[in-house]
Amino acid sequence: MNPSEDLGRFQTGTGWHAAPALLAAYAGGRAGPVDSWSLEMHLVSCALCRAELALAMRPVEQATLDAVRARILADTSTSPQPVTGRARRTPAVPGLGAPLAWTARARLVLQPAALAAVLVAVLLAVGLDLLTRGSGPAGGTGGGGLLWLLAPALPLGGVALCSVRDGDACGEAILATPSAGLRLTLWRTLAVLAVSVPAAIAVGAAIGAPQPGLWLLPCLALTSTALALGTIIGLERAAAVSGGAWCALVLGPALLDSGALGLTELQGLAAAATDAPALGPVAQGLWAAAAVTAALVLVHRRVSYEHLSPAHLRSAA
Amino acid sequence: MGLVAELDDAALLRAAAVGDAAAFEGLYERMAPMVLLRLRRRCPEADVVADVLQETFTAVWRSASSWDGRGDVGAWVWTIAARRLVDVYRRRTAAGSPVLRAIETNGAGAPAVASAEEQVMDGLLAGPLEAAMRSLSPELRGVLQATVLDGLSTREASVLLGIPEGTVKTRAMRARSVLRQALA
Repeated sequence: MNPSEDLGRFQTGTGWHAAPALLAAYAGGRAGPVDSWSLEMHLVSCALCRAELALAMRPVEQATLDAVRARILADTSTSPQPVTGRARRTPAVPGLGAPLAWTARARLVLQPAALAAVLVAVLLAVGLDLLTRGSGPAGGTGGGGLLWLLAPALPLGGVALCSVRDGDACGEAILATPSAGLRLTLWRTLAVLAVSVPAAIAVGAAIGAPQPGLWLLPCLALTSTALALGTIIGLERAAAVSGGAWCALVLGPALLDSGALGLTELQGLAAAATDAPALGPVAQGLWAAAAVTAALVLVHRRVSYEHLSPAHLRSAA
Repeated sequence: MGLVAELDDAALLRAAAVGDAAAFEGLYERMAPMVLLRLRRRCPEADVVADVLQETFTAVWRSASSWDGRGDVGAWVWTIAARRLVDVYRRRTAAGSPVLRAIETNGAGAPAVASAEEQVMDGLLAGPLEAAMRSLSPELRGVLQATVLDGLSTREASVLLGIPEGTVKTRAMRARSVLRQALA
């Protein structure tokens, strides 16, 4: 890849090319800041000077280049495109351009673990609901009360798994595309909501829970709060905090009243679910305000989703 | 690689995007020296530089199809490398920034290995702007390099240099005013 020195030197691009002395000084690590900076800006767009620079490199750097090339080729031959984790194990199909295929995108967005976590959360809530069913103090007026109370927090189990982690199949896409991190996290969250909300509504209808309209707004507020808080403490912890806060809000008063949270208290809660202040008309306004605030915070701090989750270090990758 | 040598950077990247390994190798030949030397100037640890170089080109290979076709391929590749380097420092909680140390040594002048001839040639490169830049402290220079040259955000620069975001902003402002005075 030797450049045609005599022909190209003053003819291509802007017409300016780096002097051999500058290239030699830069390659040897001796160039001053101004020269280095102007050369670096130039190299980005000038293939000719890049090729000259390659010739001026010290043997040490050349050895590094060769070693890294060997590592990359070994790596890429076992993990060809596209970007997804499953595809790493299958041979590359040249000419398919698979990263753009919708199946590949769907695999980035739909995470089996997150969706499973949500379904487990729904099942647990239903189980708890069935357990506290029957003879409550208020006479056991229909089931579904407890499921109804816990429904807003159910998606959080899946949202916790929506962040883009290091070693994630699409980590490279995040590095290469601006704002891909936030978009991917939002799509994953949307997928989690699209599974958990209909599931909770359907199961609620089957076991006779109160109308689902009232818990949708708190659900939205909790999810967006988790995303906004996730820009500061990480999405996993933020989802746990929001979920814990909701449980404290709903179950806390009963715990304080009777000093314990046994089957009787849960039955009482379930029976009086429709009177819960956290889902009352005043609270609905607060939840709407919280959702809007969280969305604003999320937009303001969106950059933090552009980095891979620091919780997972290199050793995990 | 007769064919590869005739294609421009963008064509090589597009070929690599559809799985052409030879095109990708050609791209590595062209871009890796620049990326390696530029990383070396920003990070004193040779093994970290090699790791970041490897991760950068693995990312280029895997996400070649996500290049939007705007701007230079070289700029796109360097952006990936710079962000990867930031991520490495983000993982570190150790006090002190090796990046800043690299900037300090780069500003200190030629290392002992430079031959007499090289020193003469280097001397010819010096000028008033060079003198002005050398009058900047390494701290101010580091901020200018990260924000102006490498195009990092204030937040990314703060991670790379190991200083708070507010400090990045004030140092960038002070560096500009020092340069303005020195060149007036």
